[in-house]
Amino acid sequence: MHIPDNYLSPETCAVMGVVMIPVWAYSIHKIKKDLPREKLPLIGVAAAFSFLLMMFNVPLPGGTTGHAVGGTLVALLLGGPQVACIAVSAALLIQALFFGDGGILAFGANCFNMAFVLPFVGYGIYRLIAARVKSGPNSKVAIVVGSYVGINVAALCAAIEFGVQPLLFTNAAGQALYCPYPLSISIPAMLIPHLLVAGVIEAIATIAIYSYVQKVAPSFIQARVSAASQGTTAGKPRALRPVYLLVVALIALTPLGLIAAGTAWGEWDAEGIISEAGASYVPFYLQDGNGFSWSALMPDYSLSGLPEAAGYILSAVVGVALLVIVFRVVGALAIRNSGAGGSAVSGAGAA
Amino acid sequence: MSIHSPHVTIPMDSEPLPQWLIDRGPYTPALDRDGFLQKNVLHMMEMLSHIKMQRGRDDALGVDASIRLATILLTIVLVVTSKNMMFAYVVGAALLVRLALMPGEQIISVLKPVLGAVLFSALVMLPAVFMGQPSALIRISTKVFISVTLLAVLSRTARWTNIVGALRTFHLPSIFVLTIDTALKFIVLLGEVALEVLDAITLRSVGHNIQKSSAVSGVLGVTFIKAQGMSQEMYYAMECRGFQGEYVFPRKRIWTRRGLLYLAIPVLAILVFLYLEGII
Repeated sequence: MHIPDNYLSPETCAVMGVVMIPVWAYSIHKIKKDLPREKLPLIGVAAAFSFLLMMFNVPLPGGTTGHAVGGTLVALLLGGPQVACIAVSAALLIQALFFGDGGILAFGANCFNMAFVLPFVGYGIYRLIAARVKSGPNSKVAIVVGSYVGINVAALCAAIEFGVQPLLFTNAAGQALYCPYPLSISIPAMLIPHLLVAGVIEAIATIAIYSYVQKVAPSFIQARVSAASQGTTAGKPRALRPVYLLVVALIALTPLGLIAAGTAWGEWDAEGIISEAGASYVPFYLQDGNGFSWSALMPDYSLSGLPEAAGYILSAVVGVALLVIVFRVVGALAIRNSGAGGSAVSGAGAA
Repeated sequence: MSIHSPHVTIPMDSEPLPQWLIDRGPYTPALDRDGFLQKNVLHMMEMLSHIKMQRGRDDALGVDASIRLATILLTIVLVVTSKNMMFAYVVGAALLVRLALMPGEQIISVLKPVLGAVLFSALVMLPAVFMGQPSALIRISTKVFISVTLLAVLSRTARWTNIVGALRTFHLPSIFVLTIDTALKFIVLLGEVALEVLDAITLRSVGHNIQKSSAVSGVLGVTFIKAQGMSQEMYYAMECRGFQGEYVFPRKRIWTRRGLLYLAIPVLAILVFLYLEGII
């Protein structure tokens, strides 16, 4: 998700940088206010940790590997998204300055996606669910859903940043100056691999590392949890309805966003990862001969016919069903674990 | 972990080892995939050696890193903004000349990330060719080459602490600069911890180890727990040296004679940009 330079216009980069200034200011203010002084080096250590996390490969089924961003995890372990925001920003700057990973002009945009949206959304959803379930702050469902949704919302933001480029910045001949892909391509290209692969890695890494720390150093987690619960929640499980509403809304919004952007899930399904898009993408355009209509924001569905529309309604249904299945399985495993009184790591990890 | 246990003593007149213990067994460990372990170990070692290599290095040209960083930022902005590819080609040519002046080892270490980034961006831009925007492939790949090379050359020829110091010259909040400074040091320390744990897993994974995958979460878990203690120790060390909650930097003289001479580069870049874009 590290956006390199030249994909976004300098104007977009400037806007994203300006947007990040109040976020950084708020985070630093909050850290200075809330974090005891002896915890100050911890932010730097957290930045180092999140840097290592991003370069650490997690094994995936089928012998492949992938890496997590870990924004939600850093927020969870270090008591808040503000710390994660500064830590991940520092890690991103180190990557951009010294390792050529992510652009230096696009630094604001990268921070917006991975240091702001990811930890704040991930941690927010975690808190929302954790306050309403019996297992409270240690709820595995809350951690898994939070980290999964967090990285996907971040990927959606990156996709929108890419997708608006050809709308806003073209030369006299109508050719895009920066990223040439409209929203109809950038959103599925970013979201599908994240929904299917990267989000799963993020959720597995978050729950596995959190559970490990919880198992090996329970006092650390307890101290953090008690500090967190003093904040807003009284520790009482609240009604679950808002959480269900949120989940339903998210499920509904995901396919809606794709339909609105005018794409079929199916075409990108086989890609898996954006870097592979090139190879398997070509035949589709060559066969269908409709490559040019893709440069328009809304392809004309009445002309392209029924099968395409039917195709992505079907994929949307499959996507929603998969999400529900994951929720159910994670939920069932969580109940089983709390019933047995143990805290099995592998259960949630397998989901 | 230790092989030499103090309790094991070898008596001088001991019984000879029984035959069954001496015989070679037909044990061949079951094959197991450990691609990700090796990948992580290699990746981690490469990153660590990369950081360590720049220690004790003097800044090239004797120009303050903040001037160089500002010049790079300006150049990247100009390259990104330019509508005419000529400017990108001129900067690209100048960069190739700069690269050619570097020792071979350094060129390799610059080109590694650069080629990766260019290849990736060419792949991502490939579909655009079939969407009727073939120029995107060349344009974006060339510009990505320039931006990544500019930064890679800086990171290979300047001491990283000086680059971090340059951030302070740009008036970034001290807490953020402290975070980056600490992070750079701890990436090495924690990276070594992670590497040791990875080594331990590899050593214990002779043959087929079904628990290997689940052990991976432990690598970062252990690293995190160690990091906790380390940050506590670091705070005590800071306090011993009189840390009062404010992070101060010694100010250095930036505008040396070489620094002023170096100014010719950004000025030239702006002039070439204005000329090629048809503004002057």
